[in-house]
Amino acid sequence: MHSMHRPGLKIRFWSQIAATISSNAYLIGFKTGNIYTGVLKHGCVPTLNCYSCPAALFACPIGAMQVTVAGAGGLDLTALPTIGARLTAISTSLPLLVIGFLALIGSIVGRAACGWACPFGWFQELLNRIPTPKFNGPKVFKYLKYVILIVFVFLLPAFWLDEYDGGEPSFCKYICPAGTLEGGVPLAILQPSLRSQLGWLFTWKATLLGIILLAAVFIRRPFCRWVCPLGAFYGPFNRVSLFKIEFNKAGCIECGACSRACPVSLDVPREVDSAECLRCLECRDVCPKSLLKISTRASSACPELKQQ
Amino acid sequence: MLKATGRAGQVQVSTIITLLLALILIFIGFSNGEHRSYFQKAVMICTQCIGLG
Repeated sequence: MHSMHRPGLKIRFWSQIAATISSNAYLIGFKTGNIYTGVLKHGCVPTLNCYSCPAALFACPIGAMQVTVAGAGGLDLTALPTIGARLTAISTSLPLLVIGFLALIGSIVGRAACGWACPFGWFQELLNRIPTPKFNGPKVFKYLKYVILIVFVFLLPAFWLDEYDGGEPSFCKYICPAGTLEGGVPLAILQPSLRSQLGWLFTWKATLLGIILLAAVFIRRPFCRWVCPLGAFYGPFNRVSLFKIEFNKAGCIECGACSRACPVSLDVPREVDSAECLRCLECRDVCPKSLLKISTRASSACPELKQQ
Repeated sequence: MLKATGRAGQVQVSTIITLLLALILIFIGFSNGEHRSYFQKAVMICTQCIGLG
């Protein structure tokens, strides 16, 4: 049998490296122990990338969402006299810019940013290359990330307020392992003054990070499949995005190559392009019958009309 | 054929609506100066992110 691998696999690998480096190109931060404070941090990357990483050039969209929501803590709409004033207050309390930015990416390519550009997703894939027995884990866990998106990114920052009516980024604070890996650990190493202040919260987050990284050795991208709120946000866009993956089921010989190659362990013939699909195209690249292809909603919309 | 055309039309409309909505949200968010609010957070070490609390 001829080799089934096509260049796409290597392109994705280099895309992940390029995205990781370009998002974290302020390398001098690793020397000085300080973070980048320039104008680029007005913008977000389309992936989970902690803005407290010493090398981060951009803001993290999930962090930015929480900051905006938390900043609206204590908003009392009943104190505002007009409907216009209330609508303005609501619009300035919601992270519309970040939601719009992520929705734009999702509307075009669906969840592809997860598959092609996420540094933490890539790191999990590298860990999974360690030769050990592999497991899938319960499918029902995939719903957890939607709960985390709603509760930790929106509800807790909006409604769990301190004595000054301020919220806090609950996902960053209690869960985000990317923040611990990219921000917490390097800064703890580089800044002795910070290291001396670390307590139970850092212990909790470091433990969580350890569990997730250990799980990634045995399970493919467990954080992306079960925990990541950004994946939960992008997932539904796979249903409407301009670009999609088409699968010609009629020609399938059920060889299973596509499912074995899938970095999130999907049953590809049945789940390709679902909300869990990262659009990484690994399945397309290994299919011996070339049954998967990229298409647009417009190009595949009316096959009957095209034939005429 | 009519059925297929109708379904395709729905999918295309939903794609276009989502794209337009995204652009509108970006415009409103930018007008509100949202980028400035998270910039202030992003240029300081986030104590929550690194586990200080």
